[in-house]
Amino acid sequence: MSTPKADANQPPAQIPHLLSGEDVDVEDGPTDLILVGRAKAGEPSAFEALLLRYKALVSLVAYRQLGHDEGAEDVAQDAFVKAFLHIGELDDAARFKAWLLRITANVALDHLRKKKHDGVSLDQSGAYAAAESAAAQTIGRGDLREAGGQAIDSELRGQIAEAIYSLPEEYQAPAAMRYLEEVPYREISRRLGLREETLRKRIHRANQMLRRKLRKLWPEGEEL
Amino acid sequence: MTCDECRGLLQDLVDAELSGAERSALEAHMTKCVECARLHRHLAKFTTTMVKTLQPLRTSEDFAGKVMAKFEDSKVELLRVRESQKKTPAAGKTWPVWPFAAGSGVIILVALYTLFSGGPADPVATLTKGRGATRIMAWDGKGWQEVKGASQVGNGQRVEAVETPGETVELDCGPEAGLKITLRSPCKVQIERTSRQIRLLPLADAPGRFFLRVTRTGRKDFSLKSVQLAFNRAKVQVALGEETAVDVEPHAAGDVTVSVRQGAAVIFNSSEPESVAAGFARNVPQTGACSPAVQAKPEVFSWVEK
Repeated sequence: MSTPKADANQPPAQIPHLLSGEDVDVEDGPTDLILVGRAKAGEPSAFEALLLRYKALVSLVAYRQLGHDEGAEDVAQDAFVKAFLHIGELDDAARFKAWLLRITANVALDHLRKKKHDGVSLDQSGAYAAAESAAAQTIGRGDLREAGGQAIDSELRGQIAEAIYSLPEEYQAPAAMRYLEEVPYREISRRLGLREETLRKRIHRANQMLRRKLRKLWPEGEEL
Repeated sequence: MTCDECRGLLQDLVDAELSGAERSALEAHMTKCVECARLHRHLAKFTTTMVKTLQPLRTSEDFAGKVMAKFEDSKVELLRVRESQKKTPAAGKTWPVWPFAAGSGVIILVALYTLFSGGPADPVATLTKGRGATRIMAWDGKGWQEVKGASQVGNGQRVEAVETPGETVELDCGPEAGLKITLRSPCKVQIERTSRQIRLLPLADAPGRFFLRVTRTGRKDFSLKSVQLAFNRAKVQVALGEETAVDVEPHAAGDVTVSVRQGAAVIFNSSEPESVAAGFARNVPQTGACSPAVQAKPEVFSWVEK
């Protein structure tokens, strides 16, 4: 894969901070550039650090691409394996995250194609179809309500996944870790190599942006 | 506490990131401020709903362990596939062993691949057996076939020649200049040609050591900047005129790739005690210091006695 060459002599760019209007903070932990360099050298701890850093985000992207939960974890696992196997081909290590997410999307597409090839309709694999099918097979009112609820949850999940994915790059991983995994701030900052104060600002900003993006679902004046 | 201060900390309160004192101060403020209390309720429910809705997407506890296990398995599988791709179908199976038993037998395997990527499937070179060769074998995709006299060599076909022990044989590239690579090895050697590389695959039963010497031959205006050996993924820079030793493990444990970055024809020649020679007349893409004079082409390969 050909990506633009990174200048190894230059420190990682701080542009995202400036663009977001966030105070520039000194970051302590290793950047993707450093971790990818170590991973290329075969250092197992670097692979694990990258995994912890992006597994929540990769899961979201897998779900977003598949449109349902089923197989999302397999896709996420396979995406990491594929990325790790080919990490030597990544020219611009600073673009690791974008590269990983692109691989995730491709693995998800392969997963869907395989499923289609195996005779499973893509529509049928969706949560709506599951809910409809459950509704058709059950008589009880409670069951119907549950099936409908699952479909609504699935749609909501899709919208949230989309909203997180559409955040500016530096907010995606913190938001994914916070809302998907409920990871405490300190742990998120450790995984991302960010100072806690920087991380806290990013979480707050991500929260504001998400509330704005999802305003139609949860108007501020309404009780949820 | 002011409303602004309170609102700056509400998300931290929802995320349970405040100390006891901070939490108490915030809660005290909210008992008096309806608007901050309402915002707190909204933030709390927003966060709770987000977390609850995304919960099915949480990865399993041993997600990292599973990925690393799959990664290790895939690495092994990838290596296995690469190794099997390196092995020739006939390696060690249909070959007579007399050249090795004789101790000084020389086998030349010349593999000619598509000289230009995406080129036509038509034959791209003609090979003529010279007096030095006792046998020339061609790989037709299913097995090794003896070549009688002149033979057309097509894309992807392989040609090998078994030489009389102790003799030096050279594949002459005609009037073209080129490199002379001296190879002294107990191994059976396969030489593959791709558009820019010549690969020497050790196929011997016993571990051995290649001794390669790269020198200029023929036209003096031929210019070569560097030759690089890639063996077991380690790269060795070879200086012109100097003999370089490369340790070889048995049976395709690795390959030696001679990357000729700038050059036209290449001649492999042997030194004591065994001699191997092969050459290619087709020019590789011209770059840098490579003389334009070398661009010319003969596509006719012929074996000649040295």
